[in-house]
Amino acid sequence: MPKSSRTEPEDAILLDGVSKSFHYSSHRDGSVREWFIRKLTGRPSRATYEFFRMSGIDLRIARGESVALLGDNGSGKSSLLRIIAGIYTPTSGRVERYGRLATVLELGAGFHSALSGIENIGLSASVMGMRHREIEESIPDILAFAELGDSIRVPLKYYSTGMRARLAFAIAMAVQPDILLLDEVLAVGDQAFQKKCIGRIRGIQADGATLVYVSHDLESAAKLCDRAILMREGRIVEDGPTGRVLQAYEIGR
Amino acid sequence: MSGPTTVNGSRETFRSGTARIWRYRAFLVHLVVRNIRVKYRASILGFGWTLLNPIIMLSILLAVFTHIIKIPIEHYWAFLVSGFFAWNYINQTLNHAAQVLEEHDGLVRNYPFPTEITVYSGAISKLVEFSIEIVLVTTVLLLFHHKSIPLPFVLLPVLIALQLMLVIGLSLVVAVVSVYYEDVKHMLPLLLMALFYVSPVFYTVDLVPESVRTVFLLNPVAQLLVCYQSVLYHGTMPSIESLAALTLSSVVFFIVGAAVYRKHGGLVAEIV
Repeated sequence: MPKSSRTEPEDAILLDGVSKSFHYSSHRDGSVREWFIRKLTGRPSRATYEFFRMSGIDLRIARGESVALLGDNGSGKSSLLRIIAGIYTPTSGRVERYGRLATVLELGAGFHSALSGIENIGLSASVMGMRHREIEESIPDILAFAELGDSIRVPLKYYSTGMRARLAFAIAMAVQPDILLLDEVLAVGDQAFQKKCIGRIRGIQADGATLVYVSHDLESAAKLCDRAILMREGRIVEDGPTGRVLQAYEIGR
Repeated sequence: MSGPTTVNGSRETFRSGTARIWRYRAFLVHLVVRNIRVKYRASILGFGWTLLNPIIMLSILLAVFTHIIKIPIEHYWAFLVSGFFAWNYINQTLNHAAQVLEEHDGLVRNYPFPTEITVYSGAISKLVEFSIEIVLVTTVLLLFHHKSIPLPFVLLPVLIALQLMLVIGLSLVVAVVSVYYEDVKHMLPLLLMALFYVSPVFYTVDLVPESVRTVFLLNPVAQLLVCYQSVLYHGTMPSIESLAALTLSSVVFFIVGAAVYRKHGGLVAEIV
């Protein structure tokens, strides 16, 4: 495995001085008018506002570590997850990741509602980098884990949120990830399924996978993660053992 | 397991970008299959719609240009079908490119993958439809127009490949610009209408005044149609000039399109 100057192989995720600005433009969507203004004045037109900024994010997550991302709505947890995943490009700084990645960020994000569960598996698995043969081989596992029975042949528009969650999670687990990024997905499943997911997550943790977990369910965060990060207004304000960070979070409210 | 995935940092080179897309080829295949499945799942006529739409358009053009405005081309129907379907492919694919990223926003916002794959999948899905059309057109022309099998027909796969490259190059630019500027969606149908009239779909290049013909042939779509018409209508090899111009422009458009997308596509996930 090639080594870079800053990253040791035992790191799974490294963020180095990462910042990210999010802009929106006050004029309805982008337009040619705005483009002209920008070209003529040679700088961003006044119609563009920065509405959120994440800055000074240095983060090192070792292989096998499980980290809970905590914080209020709009504190930047999901954006941080997307930066780690490589979906958002940071404005500055460096992001490195080792190993195979699986994500469940928005439930059933890649699903098509007109197609059946079984027809949706291939696409969602392949977008996480699985090859045809791997997908074929893991379909029995996915079906067994999702426990959808005959509903797997029904178009997804007839699925409940919980059923979608089962399928999405089952596919993500089939990737056999080295790094698993989860965003508030366990909450929608029923008790039995939640338990099963937690069991499976424990399993891949034992195999040395790295977990980054966003949740408002502090109990499950405490159960799954020994380290927690508290975010506020796009910054990391606490980073340490879950118990301590949870306390800081409770006090800070 | 591989080395680090550096998510940002140094700009992707053409080779590393291509390798990244190649790694996601299974995803591309699934996306194409899904596009086709979804499109025809709910309709009774299924694939029939793919044909019905261009055939109606074709009938209108045929009626207008043989009965109202008489264009002096022998076997006009055979001439018209030779270029029309390629035009139809370009038109539909580019219009689709303006919304393809929005169509796949769930994937784009939630999974790290080279988002240009959605553009590729759009162009390839439509190419499946086009291939069926071109097989039908070829059969009809061989049976009723040539009544033999001219050798230049072997060139068709090459023309289709060049057409795909050209259209993907253009689509990449249309797709990424559409994300930043809504205006493209309003402007594009007008541009495509203009392109229809300045490309020899329903008339031959011979009818273009010689004084502007050089400029006229700078349009790569014109070169593409000229090549199709040589093969399908005349049953002859396209001129080396046309073929060379088409090859060159397809490659250039593809590379430029890929470079434009690579430069500006990074923010697509948060804007779309």
